[in-house]
Amino acid sequence: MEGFAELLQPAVLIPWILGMVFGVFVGATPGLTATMAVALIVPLSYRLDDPVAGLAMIIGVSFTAIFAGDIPATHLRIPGTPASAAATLDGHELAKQGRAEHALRLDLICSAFGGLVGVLALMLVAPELAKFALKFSSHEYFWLGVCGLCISAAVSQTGAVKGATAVGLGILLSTVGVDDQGAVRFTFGQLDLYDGVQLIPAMIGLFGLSEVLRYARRVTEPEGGQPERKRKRDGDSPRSALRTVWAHKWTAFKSAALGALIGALPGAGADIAAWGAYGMAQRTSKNGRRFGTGEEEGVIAPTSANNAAVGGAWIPALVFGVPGDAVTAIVLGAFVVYEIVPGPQIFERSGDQVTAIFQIALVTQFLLLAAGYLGIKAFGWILRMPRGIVMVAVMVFSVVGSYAMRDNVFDVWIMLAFGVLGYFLESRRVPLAPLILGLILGPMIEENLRNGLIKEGGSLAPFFTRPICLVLILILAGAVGLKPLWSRVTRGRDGA
Amino acid sequence: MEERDCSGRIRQVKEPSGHTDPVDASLGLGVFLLAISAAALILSRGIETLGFAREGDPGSKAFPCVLAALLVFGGVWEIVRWRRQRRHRGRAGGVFAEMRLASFGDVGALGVSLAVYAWLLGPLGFASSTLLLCAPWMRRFGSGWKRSLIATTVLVVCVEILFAGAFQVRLPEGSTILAIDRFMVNL
Repeated sequence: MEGFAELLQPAVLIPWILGMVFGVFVGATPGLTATMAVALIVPLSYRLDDPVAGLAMIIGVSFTAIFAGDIPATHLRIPGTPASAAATLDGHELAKQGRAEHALRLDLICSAFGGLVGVLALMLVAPELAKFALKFSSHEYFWLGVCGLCISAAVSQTGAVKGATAVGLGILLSTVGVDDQGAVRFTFGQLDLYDGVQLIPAMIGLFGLSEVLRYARRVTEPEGGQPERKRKRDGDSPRSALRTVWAHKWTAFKSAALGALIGALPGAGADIAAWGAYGMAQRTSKNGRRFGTGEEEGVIAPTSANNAAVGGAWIPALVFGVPGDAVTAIVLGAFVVYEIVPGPQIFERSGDQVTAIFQIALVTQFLLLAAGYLGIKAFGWILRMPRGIVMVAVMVFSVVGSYAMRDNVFDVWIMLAFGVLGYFLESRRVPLAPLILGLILGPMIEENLRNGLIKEGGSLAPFFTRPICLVLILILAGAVGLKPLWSRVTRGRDGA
Repeated sequence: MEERDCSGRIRQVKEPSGHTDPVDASLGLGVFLLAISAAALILSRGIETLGFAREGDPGSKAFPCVLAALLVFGGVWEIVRWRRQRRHRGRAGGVFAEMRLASFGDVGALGVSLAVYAWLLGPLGFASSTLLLCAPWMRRFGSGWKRSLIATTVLVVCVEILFAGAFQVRLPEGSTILAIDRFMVNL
């Protein structure tokens, strides 16, 4: 209870709520993503005196931005995040019927409920998993890192080869700096590079600046003078939204449980969870045929699942240091700066901080209701802001955010370089999330490979013969084969 | 997709947001991967290991070299794909070529101006360089001059309050601005 009391101190609560409002603003702005929201908030969080307040800001933004991505998905049919794509189907249909606010209220309640289920799953499963993971040595850690990278490459939307390319580039960039044997690699004589590529400026560049460059590239065609489509006045109330969710409580619970489970698989993020829950609800609901035409259950299922997956994704992220998606990868990168080192020993080394993380994640679900409601109301205002001004603001925040990390202009150059790299790679359909995972997991893989080889006098055999290694290799083979199997299943269903 | 411009009117914005012609994309990516792998392989030769390595350790050069070699495969794969696609679909052109011409200028100009912005942070400081470069970009992105100047000023004030005021970040003040300040004080 003391921990909860600490969270309710103004020094923690105020930045936390401000961070969540920021998450709503960024997540709800079409074109700005949850990943960008988290990347931009991290440098601000480091400036806070209380590390708990910093963690609260980051965690608050990561949950809020996923929900906020559903706001443009419902109003404009533009998913703010990939996880919001499934919510566009029935949410947008409800919006077309003049029930946008009702759809978003359902969405908000289910997001908070799903988030709660995901966090509870994290609290129950992660410590038990960590006890087992204490049996791991360098060989197993090497394979865990490889598993995370291979799965993230395999489930990339643009194909496994592009995903693998991004992973390779990420690992190569992670070799910049002084390694654990004291060798200086690819620093070009720059002392600022001795600590390696700074993660936060790199992430801000990849996800923030590259978006501004993409915006500059778009060819616009003013059609001018079209009046805004008038929407019918909403007759639904928050109470009716609560009644609707209660009526479909089992759909919400099943979807949230499925979301947490899918989220816990390394590499399978909130987007797969949302689609999986939507498909399950469609098959099991007696109104399944009405899905896609503005059915309330079609909103409840994916929105319960996507936020539950955020909590679920933290299970492998905290226990093994293997993030499931880009948002979790950035949060994990931020944890490292807070000296919270993911791994099975996390509960011993950083027990207090992990407890704080759990408590923050729990309370965030309740604060989400308030911040999300504000976001639903404020969306009209965001929609009225010219996109060009928002983009220039993102540009300035990217520059200042990178600089603020170490009060160093060199980090701004790093951010610019990664922004250009991110723009170039995205224009070639190379996904950026595996690159970030490569950057984070690269040092872990190299260090454990070298330590494993030193222990065994240069022999690679134990990497393939130790029992847990064998299990991990099998999991890797199964998980990499999951995507083609999933594609085949969905193709078969579409065909039927 | 639709979005609102500065005058409050809805306008259509074309997607795909910044994707290059898939055929050219493979070539560009392939060449990039080959170049970065070659650079990594050449630069790896200069890595000094300081003699701390123990028995069985492959050394500090091994990991980057293996990665660079794998990226060479990636580069070759993309170039082979480009050749196959080109043969299949003919030369790239049409809509994508027009889009490239129309939009490359803006991206290049934004990239260069961002580099200038980062460089100007030292001599001019945050506020002056932001006002100097961001207002024209807001103008380019569709706002009027008056609105751009007001929005940039509000942005600078917000950043100063948030970062310098609340988070105690020492934003660059600018050597030139400080020198002018000193000169004015001496006068």
